[in-house]
Formats: sequence, C-alpha cells, structure tokens
Amino acid sequence: MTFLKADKLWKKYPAEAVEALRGASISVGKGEIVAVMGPSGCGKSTLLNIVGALDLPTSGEVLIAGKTIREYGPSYLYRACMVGFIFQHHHMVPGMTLAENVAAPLVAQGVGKRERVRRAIELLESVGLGNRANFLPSLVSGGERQRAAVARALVAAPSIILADEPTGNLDSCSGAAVFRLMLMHSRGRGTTVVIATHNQEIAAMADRTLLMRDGQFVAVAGST
Amino acid sequence: MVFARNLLRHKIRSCMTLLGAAVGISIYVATTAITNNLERETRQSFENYNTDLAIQSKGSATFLHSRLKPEDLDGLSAILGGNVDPLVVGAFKEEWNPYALLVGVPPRVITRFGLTEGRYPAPGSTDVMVGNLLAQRLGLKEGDQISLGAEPAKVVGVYCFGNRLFDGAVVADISEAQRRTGRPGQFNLALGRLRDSSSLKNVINEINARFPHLTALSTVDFVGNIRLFRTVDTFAKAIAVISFFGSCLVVTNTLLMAVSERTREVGILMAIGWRARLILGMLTAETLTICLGGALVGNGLALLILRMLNSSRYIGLGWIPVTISAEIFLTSLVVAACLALVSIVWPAVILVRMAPVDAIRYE
Repeated sequence: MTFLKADKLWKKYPAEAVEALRGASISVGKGEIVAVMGPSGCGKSTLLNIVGALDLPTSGEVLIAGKTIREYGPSYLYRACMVGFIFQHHHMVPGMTLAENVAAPLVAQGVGKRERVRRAIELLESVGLGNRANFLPSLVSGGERQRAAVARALVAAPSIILADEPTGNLDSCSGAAVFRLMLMHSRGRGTTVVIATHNQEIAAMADRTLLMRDGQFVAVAGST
Repeated sequence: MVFARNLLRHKIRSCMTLLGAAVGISIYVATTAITNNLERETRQSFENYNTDLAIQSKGSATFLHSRLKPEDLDGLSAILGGNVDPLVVGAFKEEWNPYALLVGVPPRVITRFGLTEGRYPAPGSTDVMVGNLLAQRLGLKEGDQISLGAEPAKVVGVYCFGNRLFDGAVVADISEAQRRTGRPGQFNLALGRLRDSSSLKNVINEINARFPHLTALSTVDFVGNIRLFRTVDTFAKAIAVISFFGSCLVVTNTLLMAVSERTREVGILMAIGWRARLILGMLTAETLTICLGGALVGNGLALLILRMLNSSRYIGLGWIPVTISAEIFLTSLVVAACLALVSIVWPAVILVRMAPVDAIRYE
C-alpha cells in the first residue's frame, strides 16, 4: 500500500535559475525504508524538504496516506504530527539538554512536561544515552548527538522519517551504528523512512534504493 | 530553563543589554521620583500646614514671584473669618545650598513646626530656626550661625516639619523673612482654612471675583498648577521617553543579533514542528528576563543617582528623594515589560517571516 506518493515534483529556484527537481515522482509503502542516492545537487535534500513541508514545490503534489500535505492543516502541524527529521549535522538546539532536545517535538504537539520528559528519557535510554540526558549537546560526542537526533525524530511517533545524510558527519563505524539504531526503531514501529545518502553500505541496508540525477529518479538501484 | 541557558550562552552580551535597559530605566525612575517627590512634598507641606486653599498674585510663575499686600490679607481675612495666614518664601544662593529656602511665618503658626531642639524665634527677632535635615547636613545646633543673604542669622532652634523640603529650610518670624528678602510688608502666599470644607468652591469663586489681581486655588490644584513643577515634570517625562526608546534600540539590536545568530536553531525548531509563536515565546521570555533584570538593576542605579544628587552641594537640600516608592518601583517593572515587548516587535517580524528551509541552511 502506497503511503508516500510524490507526483511530478518540480522545484525551481528563480534567484539561482536552478531547477532542483524536474518532475521527480516517488511512491513509498507504509513501513518501507527507501534510500535515495545520487550526486550532490541532484535534488535529494530538496525532495526531502518538500515531503517534510519545509519547502514548497513549484509544481506537483505530495500525498501522505492519500491526503495532500495541505489537508493535514498548517505545515507546522503536519511536521509536528507526521514527520521526524534527521539531518546530516545533528542540528541539536545548543541551549537545550539532550532530553530537552529529544522532547522538543512533543512541545509542538502540546504534550505535558511530565509526559515529555518520560518519553524523552525512555527513548534516550533505548539509544544508549540514558546517562547523558541532562548533558548539553556541546558536552557529548558527534555520534551521541546523532543518536539523540534519531531519538528526537522518533519521539513523537511520526508516520514518516526523513533523514538527510544522517551519517554523513560520522565515521563509518558510528554511522552504521546510528543507521542500524534508526532501522531497528522504525521497523519496530512500522515507520516509513526515506533516507538520502551517499553511503553504499547504508543504502544496502534499506528495503529499496532509488537513484536520482538532475532532479529526477533515474533507476531503481536494488530492492529486497 | 532553556531561556536562562540561552542568556548564559552569551554572558557578556546579556549583561551589556541588561545594563542598557537598566540605564534607561534608572533615568525613568530617578526623574519620576524627583518630580513626584517635588509635588508630594509640596502637597504634604500644605497638609501639614492644615490649609484648604492658597492665594497668590495672578500670573506669578511660582509662589516665589507672588506679591500680596497687607490690604489683600485684610480683605481675605474678612471672607475667611480670620482663618488666613500669610507666608513669606524666599530663596538665597548660599555656599551651603544654592537654593536655600527661607520661610517666614507669623507667630501664631510657627508652633506647627515641631521643635526638636532649642526654642522658636521670638516675634520680631532676627533669629531663625533650621530644619533637622539642614541641621544634620551642616552640623548646626542651637546658638550656631548660618549665612543667609546679606548677614548671617543666629540659629535658636531645630524643627522637624515632616517633609524633606521644609526640613531642609530655614524658618524665621515673618517680619524677619520680609526684611531678609527685601519685601517689607509683602507676602508671597496667603493660606486659608475653612470651617466647612464643602464651601471651598464658593469661597474660591468669591475671592477670585472680589480680588481680580489674585488667584485662589484649592491646595491640591495649587500644587498641580505650579508652573515650575509642570515644566520640570514635562522635561522629566521627555527625558524618560527618550531614554526608553534609547533602551529599546539597545535591546532590539541585541535581539536582532540573537535571531540572526540563532537562525539555524530557529530552523531546527520549525522543522520539528514548533510554530513561530512558540519560538517567539522563548525569545520573549529571554527578553523579559533581561528587561526585568534591567529594571531591578535600574532601580538600584536610580537610588545611587538620587543619593549622589542629594549629597551634591549644587542641588537644593530636600528637593531630591533618597528612596524609591513602591509605586515607582512597580511602574518601572511595567515599563521594563513594555520595553521588552516593544523591542521584540522587529525581531518577531523577522522570525515569523523566516522560511524553515532557509533557516536550516543558514551559515
């Protein structure tokens, strides 16, 4: 069953006269883990930004569970309830502890403080950071921050996780560990994952790999 | 407390901004305290003097410029049933006080000044008594001399009137005050009392009708209408408004820097579903903390300024308050909150217009 469907997405940046997406279409099933590969500038991040409602397409439509993003209400509400983001750089809020960072999506959902803390601690423990909950991001390693970023993406139980080169800043060992962690959690919850990556090993762990070039999907690189 | 941590991330900048807000608020607090004190002390003087209305010559800029003749006093006495007292007020430029106040009162009211040391000046004598504030400042006691105009005066007593303005002054018998101010037979003010205060308006109207060269006002209106006070008040308010907007610029500038520096952070929060209002709430909490902190420090600074002014030899004794009333303190907190809210407008507009995707990419 198709969960995510992007149909003929175009994205043009008039200021730079660049077409980042040129009619890209993609279908992803519920609970499916899809890796999107391609050279830098091929449109991977733009695709994830549009699916995550961080950006708007010039034309084309994104359907999530058969509904357009607009039908989910304001874009912040869609992001708060439906999407979990993991970025290449951990993108932790420096003034928040790891627990506060992980709990931040729940603030957007209006979840009470006690419940937020409980869920954040639970997830941090599950990614092996229970003893780092009250640490500021600046006091933990890059790998730990990225594990916390995974926890943050999962805490609000989103329907889809969008990961933009989540292991790009980590060594291969830490990167694989973080990705396995993400897979374990999302498979356990039946969460759909779209991951943009340059890393073949990471892509190999996905259910399906799609190749992008010049703003279009060019081939299915493999599937399980 | 995320907002507190955010402030502590840039300690020096937060402190400088807090000081910027504090300077503006201290100017507001100090100027308001001075103008309020001036009016309150004068009003209180009339209350202590137990008067209902004050009469001065028409068109006088201040009561120091007012001139009343003995025949005016006789006419007023007829209307007020004898319950009218003349008052002579003069100001001297002395080394110990550039605005040394000399108050001349008739013998029958001199006892309203509570004596703490010595005796009252005898009627017709050249002796004076000094307020306890002045006595304390100059270390004066009974038998000492004080320079006052052309010739020094002998201090025969120390009084406490209950307000700083009068307690920093010199009181003499009315004839001696007239002599020293060079206005023999003339008065500055006539202060009247009524047996029935409900007739105040009628009495005022009658005096104003019968004495077109005089102005009679209730003591409350009299204080409110002193042109000098209104001028000082307007001047003080103008300074307060300018310093408020000056502080706004300082705080706004800091917030703009904070929003610019934290653009990516804002982008992250937007990406995880925070709406602009939520992020703005965090920024508002930080701004309010800085501005309210500024208010506390500003009140402390204002107290310091007031005490410095009070001890200055160039400012009249008793004109400057040395405390800040609870009302002014609370108002300063409201001003600080307004400062925060005004300062945040521009950064808020930038924040609300921020596109999440651009914010995340921001370097």
